[in-house]
Amino acid sequence: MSGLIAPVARLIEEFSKLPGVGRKTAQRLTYHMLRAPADEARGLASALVAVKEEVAYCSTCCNITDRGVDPCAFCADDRRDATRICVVEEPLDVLAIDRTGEYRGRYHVLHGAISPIDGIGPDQIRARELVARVAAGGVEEVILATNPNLEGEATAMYLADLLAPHVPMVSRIARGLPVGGDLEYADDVTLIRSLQGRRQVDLS
Amino acid sequence: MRLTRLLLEDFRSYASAELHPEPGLTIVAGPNGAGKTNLLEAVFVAVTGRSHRAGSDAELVRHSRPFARVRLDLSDPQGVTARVELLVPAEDTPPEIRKRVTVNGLPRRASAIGDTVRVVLFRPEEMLLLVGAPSERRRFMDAILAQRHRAAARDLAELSRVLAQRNALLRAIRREEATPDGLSFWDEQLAVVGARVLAARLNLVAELAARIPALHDAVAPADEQGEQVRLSYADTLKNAWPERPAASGPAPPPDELEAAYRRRISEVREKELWNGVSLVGPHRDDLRVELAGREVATHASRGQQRTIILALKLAETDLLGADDAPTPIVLLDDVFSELDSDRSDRSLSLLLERGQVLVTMADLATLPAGRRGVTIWEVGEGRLSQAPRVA
Ligand SMILES: [Zn+2]
Repeated sequence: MSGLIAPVARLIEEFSKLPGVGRKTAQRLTYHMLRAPADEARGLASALVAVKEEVAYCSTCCNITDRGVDPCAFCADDRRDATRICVVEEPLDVLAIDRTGEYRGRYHVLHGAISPIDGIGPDQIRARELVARVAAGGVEEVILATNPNLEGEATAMYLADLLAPHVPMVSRIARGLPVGGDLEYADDVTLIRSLQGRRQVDLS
Repeated sequence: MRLTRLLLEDFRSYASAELHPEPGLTIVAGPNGAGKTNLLEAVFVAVTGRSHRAGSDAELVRHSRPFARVRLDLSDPQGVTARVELLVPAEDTPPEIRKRVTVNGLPRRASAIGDTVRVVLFRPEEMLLLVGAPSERRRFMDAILAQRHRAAARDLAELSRVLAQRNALLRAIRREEATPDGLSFWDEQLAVVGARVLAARLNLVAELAARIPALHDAVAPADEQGEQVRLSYADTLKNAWPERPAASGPAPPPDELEAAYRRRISEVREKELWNGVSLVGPHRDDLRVELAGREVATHASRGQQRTIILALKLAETDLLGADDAPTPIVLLDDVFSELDSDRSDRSLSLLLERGQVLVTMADLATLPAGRRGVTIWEVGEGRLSQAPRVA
């Protein structure tokens, strides 16, 4: 970054380390910060520091939690069914599932999925913690809610093998047609998967 | 569907360009490096969703411009028209500008464009199709499959993802950073997706084989007429597929191929762990071509090989246009310089019988005799002539 004064070059450098941010975007963000009021810069800086210093991981479910709040709010909530654990890849997935109101059990966050290309194997996700938690007993069902892509499937298969000896039921979320969609516009894979996952019509 | 207008904006060397192809033959002439191939590439990318020669989409965008746009105006003999438009963002374009393709203004998956328009690209490198590496022949087969069947396009993409993950895991195991028990999931994916790709290729080779003899004789000079051309598919399953028929034919049921892959994958386990790479799968297969019972790569003359290659490209054109699919637009990238005028003229006639043909050439002297009077668009320094001239 010849010709740039050091603080500007450094900020561009830091921004361009972020995922999805290229050189030009990093420059744009840097010049935006230069023009912005000092308060805005301080706000951003303190938010960045806080996210590392004030956020911790729940020792039970591995989800993110406020520092000092362990177990997290989900794990501490006695009204939640502790015999069911829903396993997801990311903290945002917990919010998505919980928002539905359909599920009132506990969660486990893996923080990733198995992907050899990215150097992520079983030891790089929070799988061991899950197995220990389930092996400790009291769990009736583990619901594997990893993403329906290759890496999510690889993770689900791996966990299913490990968990089977410790829990009566390991289930996988169904894949199927989007609600409100038209059959004729669904792609073949989605159609095939929803045929494979068909159920008897409930007449009750 | 035929192309009535090609419109480029910030695509490669072109700030803007507009070409009005003829219903039959259109020639684009200009010196090497002037940007002729870029025009064919633009049509190819708009139809198939990816370039045959760019490492990344961003390469398609003119220097320091935010995006490239390609528009194809199409019409068929019944008067139905369609407009396909592709937008490709540059490397550092704001995320609001995403790669997208629309048909008549509606967003479509790239794999769905084949319902509207199809394309055959004949690259000069394909003159080495029969003597080159097996990867060239797999690419020839896969390009046809991907445009013909959406499911095949997805299977091919999934297969390459499975192989990339599986190879990464094999390498990690070799470095003792992972254990072999993680392989079973990827083995099964490879068996299942591999069987689907293998089945699609077997069916394709059967269809090509049925068409090749007649097309060969249509292109061949008198002294090559009636020569026996035989296509067969060479898989990597060895004895793990005992039911394999003696001669290549349509694919057996998928479970037969899946089971064969499972057996073969477990046979080569030790070797794969040693090599750190997947040794079994459609990515190791080949299309084998024989002339009068002998390998063409080693036993056929250059002329005989070119006749077979032209017959294969004609078969590709016919297969892509079969089953009520839109007749493909044929793009010939400076291939006549590699052919004698007899073969050029016969193959061009055969292609024009089928539909629309766009040809680039550096040297107008390679234009087959009897084609004088066609319209010629000239390219120089990243610009296309405003109007064609008649040669
Ligand atoms: Zn928790």
